[in-house]
Amino acid sequence: MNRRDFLSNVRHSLQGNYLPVAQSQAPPVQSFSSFDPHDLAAQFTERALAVKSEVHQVTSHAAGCQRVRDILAQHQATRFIGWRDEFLPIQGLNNELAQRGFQRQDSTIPNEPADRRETHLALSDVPIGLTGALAGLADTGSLVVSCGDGCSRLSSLLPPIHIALLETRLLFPTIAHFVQAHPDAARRTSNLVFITGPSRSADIEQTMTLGVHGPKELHVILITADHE
Amino acid sequence: MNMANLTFHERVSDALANPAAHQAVGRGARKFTANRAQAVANFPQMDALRDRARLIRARTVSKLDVFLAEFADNVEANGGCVFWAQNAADANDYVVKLAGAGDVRQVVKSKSMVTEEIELNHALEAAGVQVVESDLGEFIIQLAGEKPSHIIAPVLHKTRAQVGELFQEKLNTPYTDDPFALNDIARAHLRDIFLSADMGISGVNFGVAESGTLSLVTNEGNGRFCTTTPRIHVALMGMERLVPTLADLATMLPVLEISATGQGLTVYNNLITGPRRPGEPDGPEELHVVILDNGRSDALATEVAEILYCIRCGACMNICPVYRSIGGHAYGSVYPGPLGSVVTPALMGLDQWHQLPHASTLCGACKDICPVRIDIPRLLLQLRDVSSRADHSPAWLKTGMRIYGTIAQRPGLFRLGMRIGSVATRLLAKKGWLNTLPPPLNGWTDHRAFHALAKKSFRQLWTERKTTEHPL
Repeated sequence: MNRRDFLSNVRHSLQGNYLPVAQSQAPPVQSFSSFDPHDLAAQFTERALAVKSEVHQVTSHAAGCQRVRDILAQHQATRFIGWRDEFLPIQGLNNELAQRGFQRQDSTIPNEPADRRETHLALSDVPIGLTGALAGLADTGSLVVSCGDGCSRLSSLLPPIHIALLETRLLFPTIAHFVQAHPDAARRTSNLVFITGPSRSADIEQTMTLGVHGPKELHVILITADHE
Repeated sequence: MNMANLTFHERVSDALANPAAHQAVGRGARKFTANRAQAVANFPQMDALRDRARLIRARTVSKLDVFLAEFADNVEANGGCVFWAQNAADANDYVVKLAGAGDVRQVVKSKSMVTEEIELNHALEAAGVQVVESDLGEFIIQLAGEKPSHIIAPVLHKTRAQVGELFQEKLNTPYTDDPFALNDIARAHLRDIFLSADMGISGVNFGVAESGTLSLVTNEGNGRFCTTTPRIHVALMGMERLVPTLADLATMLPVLEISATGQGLTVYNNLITGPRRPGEPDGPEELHVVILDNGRSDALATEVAEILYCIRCGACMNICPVYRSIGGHAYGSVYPGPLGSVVTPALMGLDQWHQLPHASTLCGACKDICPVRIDIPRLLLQLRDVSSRADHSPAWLKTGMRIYGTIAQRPGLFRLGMRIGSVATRLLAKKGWLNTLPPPLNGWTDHRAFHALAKKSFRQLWTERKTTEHPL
């Protein structure tokens, strides 16, 4: 069916006025009191832990780098997929990790179907994904992750362990506060994702299991540091 | 057993005769309701957000043609394709043709009730395309060759032992009934399919008109895989599932997710705006959005148009005493529970589905819990009214109502009837409860007990109260 006929059917049905509320105005714009992101770190941490994320609070970039190295070492990882340096809050992190023997593997996916499949399969046993974050939501312990050039979707999806670097200054109280500050966030990327804990299911007798398809572990490195 | 060939009453009898599934559904539904109540207690803004959510839905649906046009323009501006499907056949044909044109052999699917509604899997399989469901619950359902019994938790009716036996039989894995081990089996099995499938198919929780964004909610991450690794992403959306702006979406998501599972936010709230862009390292090359009418514009021109506000959270089925007792399959529709009892006849016609509006006690729990405050009992009554005018009621009900009408119009006769009822039920009752009634009334007491009628009727008590203790 063509668009014109489809929409004209809808319009015709609406003319019957069968809806209980004739509501044409948008609801009033929500007003939010101002907040200091640094006051939200404790709530973010509590809520993130409640959804089974692990939170590592650090007060310097060096300490953040150390935490990433520790997690890689704990899992005997020698390689990872992740975002390019300019999108991570710790300058030179990928280089620093490379010097310590942790290799960032390119995860750009080719267009051609067979190559595409082959590249996916070649990446399937990479143990760690490393990303930054556009923001954090304190009331739900969520990360806001925006994908784009240098920021792959797969880094927060494919490996069983996801490490996300989040700066305290990027915390918002709720998703509504975030959207008010970033009204274009969805438009600016083909994929914006709010991540609230590691992957889970409760489909079998409502018993919660972690890591159904996405990561089994989510480590948030929460960085409160002056710009170096 | 093919449930579709049974009558509604046969399906209900079947469900009530299967105590394992019956108990699993009741337990699951109660747990969902409890989780929601806990989440609401921790989230004081919920009531205000629900009011706001209702306004947003009311506005969207009342200007649906305008928002649909805006949404479609933006999907296309982002590089996506829009297909307008009048009915299930249109939508299925389009997807089958896409699969053919793209040389697609395997499709991986994220959970979508709209694709259940149009039976897309059948259409693709008939065209020789393999379809794999990736939501853990849907995957189990697909292996078992069944239909979902709940819109959020498709295998609410299955025990862990049944899932273990199913995996053993179909996937050749050693038997286990440990949910964690079963989880890992499914993860390993589906991983290769995610990485090699040519086409990913998903539903849409909300489309955002102002940006042409698709919002997709999953806990497992399968919704992200289906829309990232396959070369082609096809999203199917019921035409009413829009919100005007991203700010509106920020209201709707917590309202939906707290109502559905009691989570402040579901693990992955995925916002998709067009296919992969130049420079982006991954994502699908093609994005197709199928906007489905399939009876929705007809429903919009009826007394039950309000049901199009529904955001498919499942809270009404979790709290419904009827759903808790008979489970989802007994309804015979992909949409069970109070929502299903309205939306199924509204979309697919009362002729085939006229019993569903009667599958309710009209207790009002669904209305109280509905995140967008849909007056479901009113809609059920509307449908009952239409159905009785269309002469769908069985003869025994019509005769019974006629006899009742005759008696109720004559106060002397009514009082006499009440007195006979009171004496008779108290004679038959044990400790005040009627556990079995003689035929032909025994159907009433097969699965429930009734209180005997009181010794003194309300009218008697009222008269005594007026004349003696509390003169007016």
